[in-house]
Amino acid sequence: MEKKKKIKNYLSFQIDTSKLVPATEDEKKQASLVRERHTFFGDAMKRFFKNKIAVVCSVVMLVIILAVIFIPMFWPYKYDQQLGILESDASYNNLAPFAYGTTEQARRDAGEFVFPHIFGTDSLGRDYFIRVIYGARVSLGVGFFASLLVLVIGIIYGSVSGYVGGKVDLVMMRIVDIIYSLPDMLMIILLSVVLNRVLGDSLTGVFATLGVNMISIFLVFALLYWVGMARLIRGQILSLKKQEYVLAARSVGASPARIIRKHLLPNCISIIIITTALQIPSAIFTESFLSFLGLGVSAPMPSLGSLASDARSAVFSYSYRMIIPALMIFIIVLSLNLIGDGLRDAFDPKLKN
Amino acid sequence: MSVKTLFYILKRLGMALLTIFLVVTITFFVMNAIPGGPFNSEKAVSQETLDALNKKYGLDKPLMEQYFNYLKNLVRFDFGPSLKQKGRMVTDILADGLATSAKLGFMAALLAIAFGIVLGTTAAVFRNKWPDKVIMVFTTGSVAMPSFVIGTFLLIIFCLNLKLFPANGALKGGLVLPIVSLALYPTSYITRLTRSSMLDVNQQDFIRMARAKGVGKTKVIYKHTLRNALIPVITYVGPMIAYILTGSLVVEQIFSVPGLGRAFTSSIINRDYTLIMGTTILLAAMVVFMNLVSDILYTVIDPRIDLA
Repeated sequence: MEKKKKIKNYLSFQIDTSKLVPATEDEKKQASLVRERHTFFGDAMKRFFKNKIAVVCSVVMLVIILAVIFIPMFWPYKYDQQLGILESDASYNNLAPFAYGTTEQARRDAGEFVFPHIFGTDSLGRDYFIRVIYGARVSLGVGFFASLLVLVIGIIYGSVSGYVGGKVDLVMMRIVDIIYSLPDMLMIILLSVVLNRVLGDSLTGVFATLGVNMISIFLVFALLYWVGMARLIRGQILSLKKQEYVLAARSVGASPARIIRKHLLPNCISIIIITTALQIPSAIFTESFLSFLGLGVSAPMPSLGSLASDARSAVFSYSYRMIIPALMIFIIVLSLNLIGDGLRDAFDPKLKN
Repeated sequence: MSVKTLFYILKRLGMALLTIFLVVTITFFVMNAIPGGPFNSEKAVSQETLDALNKKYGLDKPLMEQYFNYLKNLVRFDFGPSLKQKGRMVTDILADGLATSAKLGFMAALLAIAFGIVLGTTAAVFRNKWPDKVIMVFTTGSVAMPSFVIGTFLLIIFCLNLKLFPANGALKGGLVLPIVSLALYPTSYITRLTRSSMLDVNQQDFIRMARAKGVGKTKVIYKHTLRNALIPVITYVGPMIAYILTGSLVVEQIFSVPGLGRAFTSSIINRDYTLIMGTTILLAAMVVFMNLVSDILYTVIDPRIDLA
């Protein structure tokens, strides 16, 4: 093989590799430090954490969530435990905050430690603090799971309608329009009344512990509340599916389900997060409204709405029993609303004014 | 009015009628799905009495026939007899309640619109200054309180502690607190809507144009900004009526106002099925109608809106 002789061409623009020196460790480090990796999610979270109000509300919510999960585990009283019922001792009913029943007082006088009733007890002698905590747990749970239901149904319906388009979209959106124009609260009340009677005692297992009312709340959310989410998702998908990366994915043979899952939905994530965050307080509101009308959770299980509703009968003598759950609803809904606003500003800065 | 607008209005009218028809149908069949029938919950009744009762109320006929009968009667605003309030027609009960509830709802709506626009304008004019901040804190707080909580707090403060108003809505001055508790949420909503809409309009060229011509600041706000900013507020009137109507269900209960809401809540507790159906249909029809009116107004007032 004949070896070609290198001719140095002085007019060449080619880089003369022999003149290059390897980078030192220091320089390498510097190069990597110049720019951190930026993700859309990371940027949004950074903006979110700069929002002081939203951060404070997140901390408040975190405290409440931890409290409702862990306090019932070690609290010495149970939410449905009627203190003094064994001795048929009526002194346990309607205790003022930090007051004690007669036998408890006797034990205290003997030098024993008795766990205080921080908010007193209700008319059946149940520790009110644990009832409020448990009620907050139920309310948050309802809000969370109802929103999850709305999220799943709304995403599936909206993305199918938006992606398929054409006649299917037209029909699906007409259905949404009709459900949207039904007065939701009235329909919820109606369905709750009926489901209460229809399902009756036919429930077993997990459903029985949840109670008929709770199931009707979820059912109603699944039937009626997803339309807003479906509309939003459809709108997003409609504008996104014209993008070139969707065309590219389709041309290499990706199935519609895969395109929706892997390409379209991740691009809707901001609107999904914002809407879900604002859906939770609205679900809590609805639940408390229904509980107030006596269509919420079934006794003895408390929710914040039913606690407030129960306290109404004796509101003039024990107004704190009304104020405490009402304040809890207020704090939870306010925090969630502000967190939702913060998320909206963080994920979609264009919307802020 | 162009042909397009007319066509749009007709289309919306058709949709509204369809919705009301759907509500009636759902209500009828859903209520009929309740097992046992309306007379079973009472004390032990002999089979003959039950048959006689069923025959009297037409419940022995096939379901479809009952449905068509119900529809036929509905066109004449006849909701049938109340099952629990003996000898009274649902229509009469509704008419009684509607007079009070309409007054309550109308006043609450007026209050909300008036205060909402004034507060919203103030907030927008003093953007990021203390009046804006105070108003925004107030609105953020009041949307986080369910109407029954607001109602009960007002009851505790004004009826129990200050003794300013009677706790019974049927008495003189008793409607003040229910009106306030119903109006609070819509007021906050309209305030926020007006504020953001005004800030939006303020950035438009025609506002800058007006200012450049030398139009005074106050005149720009009244003649140019506010007029344009109020268009989105119209769209909220429909949902607001819906909120006030459903909100009155609990507020009337709290303040013992003898209105539609109380008729509805007591009918739920008493399982008075014909009354539940009647109230649902009436309230739903009102909500759908108000939505229709506000949508049509919206499109007629602002010619820029594309009728899709």
